[in-house]
Amino acid sequence: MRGLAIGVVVAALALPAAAAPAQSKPLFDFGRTGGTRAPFEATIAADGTVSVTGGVRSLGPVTLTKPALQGLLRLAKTVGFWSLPSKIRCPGPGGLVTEYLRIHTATQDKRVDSFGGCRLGFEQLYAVVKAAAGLQ
Amino acid sequence: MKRALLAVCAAAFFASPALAGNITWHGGNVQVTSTTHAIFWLPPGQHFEPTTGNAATDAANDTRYENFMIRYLQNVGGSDLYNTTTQYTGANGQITNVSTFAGSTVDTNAYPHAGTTVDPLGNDDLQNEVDAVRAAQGWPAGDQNGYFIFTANGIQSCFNSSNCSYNAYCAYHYWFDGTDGAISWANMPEARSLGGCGSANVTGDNDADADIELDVLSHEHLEMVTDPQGDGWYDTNYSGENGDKCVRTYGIRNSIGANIYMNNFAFQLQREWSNAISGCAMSYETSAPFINQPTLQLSASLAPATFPGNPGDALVYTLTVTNPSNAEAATNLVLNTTLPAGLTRTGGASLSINVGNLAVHDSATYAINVTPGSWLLDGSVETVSTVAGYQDILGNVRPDIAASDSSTVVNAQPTLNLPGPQTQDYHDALTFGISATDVNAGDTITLTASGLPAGLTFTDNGNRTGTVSGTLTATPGVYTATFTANDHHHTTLVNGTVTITVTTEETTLTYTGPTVILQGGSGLTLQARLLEDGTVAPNPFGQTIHFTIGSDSCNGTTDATGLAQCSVIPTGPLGNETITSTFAGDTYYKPSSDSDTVIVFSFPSRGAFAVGDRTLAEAGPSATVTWWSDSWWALNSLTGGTAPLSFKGFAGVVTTLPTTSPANVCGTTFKTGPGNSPPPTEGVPTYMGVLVATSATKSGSTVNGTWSGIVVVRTDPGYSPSPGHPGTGTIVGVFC
Repeated sequence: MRGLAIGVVVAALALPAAAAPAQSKPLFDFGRTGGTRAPFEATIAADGTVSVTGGVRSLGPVTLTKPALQGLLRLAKTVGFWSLPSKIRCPGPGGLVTEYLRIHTATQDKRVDSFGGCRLGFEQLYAVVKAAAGLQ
Repeated sequence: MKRALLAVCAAAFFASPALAGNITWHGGNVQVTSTTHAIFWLPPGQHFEPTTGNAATDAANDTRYENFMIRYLQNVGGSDLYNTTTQYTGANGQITNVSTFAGSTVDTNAYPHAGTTVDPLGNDDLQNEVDAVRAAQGWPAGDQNGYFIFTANGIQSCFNSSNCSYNAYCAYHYWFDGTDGAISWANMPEARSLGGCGSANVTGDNDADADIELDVLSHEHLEMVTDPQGDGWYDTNYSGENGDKCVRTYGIRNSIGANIYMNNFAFQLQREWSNAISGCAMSYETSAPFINQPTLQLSASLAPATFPGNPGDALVYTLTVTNPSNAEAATNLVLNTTLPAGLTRTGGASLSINVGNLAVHDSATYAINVTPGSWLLDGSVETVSTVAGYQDILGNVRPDIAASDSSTVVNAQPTLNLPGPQTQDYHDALTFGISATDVNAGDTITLTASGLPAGLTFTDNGNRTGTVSGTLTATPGVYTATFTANDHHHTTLVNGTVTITVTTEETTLTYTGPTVILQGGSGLTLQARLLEDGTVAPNPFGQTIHFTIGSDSCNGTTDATGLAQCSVIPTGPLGNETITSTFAGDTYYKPSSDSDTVIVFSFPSRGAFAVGDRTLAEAGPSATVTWWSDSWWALNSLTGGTAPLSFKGFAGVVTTLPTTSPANVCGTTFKTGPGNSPPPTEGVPTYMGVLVATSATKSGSTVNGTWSGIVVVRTDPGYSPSPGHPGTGTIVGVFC
């Protein structure tokens, strides 16, 4: 069920993007570190441009539309991203990666690191942002 | 299970970018000794390696993959890498460098799920498998045991709903409460098939899947040893355990990609965190600098071991530096080579080689080409030496190591080949050759000579031969010439001698003075020429030539042309006489002599008889002529016409008869009266000089004549001053 919801959101966001003014910091900055898997870092700029470095498979160049970006920001608000603790410590074995997501708007700037995948809201938002950026 | 989750909560880590902090102990146990077990969960149709489509090959590949995992588990105990864990102590004691492989099994039971991203294996599925196999095998529980469960190529698993093998891990180690105690285990998916799990590769083992899996296995194993239940050692900044903090850092890998050797098996494994150096390490020592110290081995070889020592001789200095360490590379390795004064570099590697890094079990070989800069003495030992300076990976300077090797100059003396004694006359040419041989083909042999007699010179032909040549000018005698052969490799030169005997020169002495000689008179000049070998005058000159004619003798001295002369007044009898010329020999020349028959004659006591010149010219040798007759005019024919009838052959007054030999004058007139006036001498010499008249004319009572020469006539008996008794004779010589 959760997978179906994510898929719908991704389909809605992955549209040709209109140009938007660039900001000095990306709107979204996310990725994974630690553990045994290769790390990666991805950013979504305010104009919707996606940049990726590291060990993750990309579906290809993607530029998000302004409505899509606004949709992601609304989802962040919906899942309570702005009130999450900056470090989410879930039970888990050695070897797992840590996922992180940072959202930088004109009025807010927050980063959340999550180990173990036990906070559903963060996991949903992280999965949708990653899918919207065209990453598998 | 509940206990396990609580423990994990305390061990939650966050892999932040800052990995520099040390790991700390959190109150729990460690694996003081590790006992490992491998479970290869491989249902039918599944393989660890990508399938080849050939069942036998696939099966063989799977077996190889399993054996690689087993080989690691069998050999990791006691290794340098495992030793990094011994710096950590848990509630149950300090970790020891002991890891024992207890066994393995292949379970072919089916997976409970498809193992896809849609239907992955779950953490509980894997724990249940561990417990089931453990029970079947009789393997024990307890936190000192480790169970590693390997699943097939492409099989996905999830720890929970959001942390799966396709997005959150390549492997993980965990623990749970089994039916008989705590179980430490590790989920070991086939990492290469997951992607993003590193690229460890050791060339030559032909198993890229196993190489990556081994790297992940080592990661999980050593984390399990230091943190078997989540309350052991990890970084409080959430960067993880000893393996996480150094994931995919391999340090310096060697030529086949390996960075660690365990019992001589090559592996490429990530390094582990070492609090002792606050960094990633492949080894550990209890004292500074807290890592194994690589001790390089340096060998040197200078070949060939012996050489002739000539410029151009090719020697090769070979350096091999080896790092026998199983875990620690050397860095900043520099090889500085020093050549002896006698050798120079011609090519190959530099005398200062900046090797840089030298990884474990790697070696580097360099060849420096050298040659003698000049001729080297036999027996000299040329030693090339090298000092190697290097550091460990932390920059600690290691003690220099050195190596050297020598080659010895072995060079045989040349052999001088000399001819036997030489003999040659003074002033004659002499040429002979010498040579030298040498077993050392590259030697340059210089030949010299001393003590050669004057006139001879020595030429070194530059090809191991030499030539003595010249014309001897030395005083005859015995000379000893010394020859040397110098191959430039010995302080003592090879020499030999040749005796050269200069003998006195052959001479010829030839009498060149008059052979028709006037007896008495004012003198006879004797003359002879002395020549060397009949060709050139002696040098030096001044030789004494002794002349004898009858009882008369004199000595002459040769001049620069070899001519010697002296004078005597011949007093011997008329007729044939012998002149002997003698050179008695001297320092330079052999004796020689000459002997010649001459004719001694005289004129009448006054005046002279005559014969006609034309008659004389028409007469053959030894012809009989008439020099006194009342028919003289008819018997003698003259160039100046017929003589008057009144001229009978005797010239009373002759202008002028010669007085010396050779003739000091010869001509030109005579005067006499007609008929028997004046009367000729009563007698005549047996060998008599006779005028050669060219004309005779009568003017009044005077007959005037001219003459142009004198011949010697052996007079016949019968002469009388009366014209009726003609005077005849045989011509035996011409005086002038």
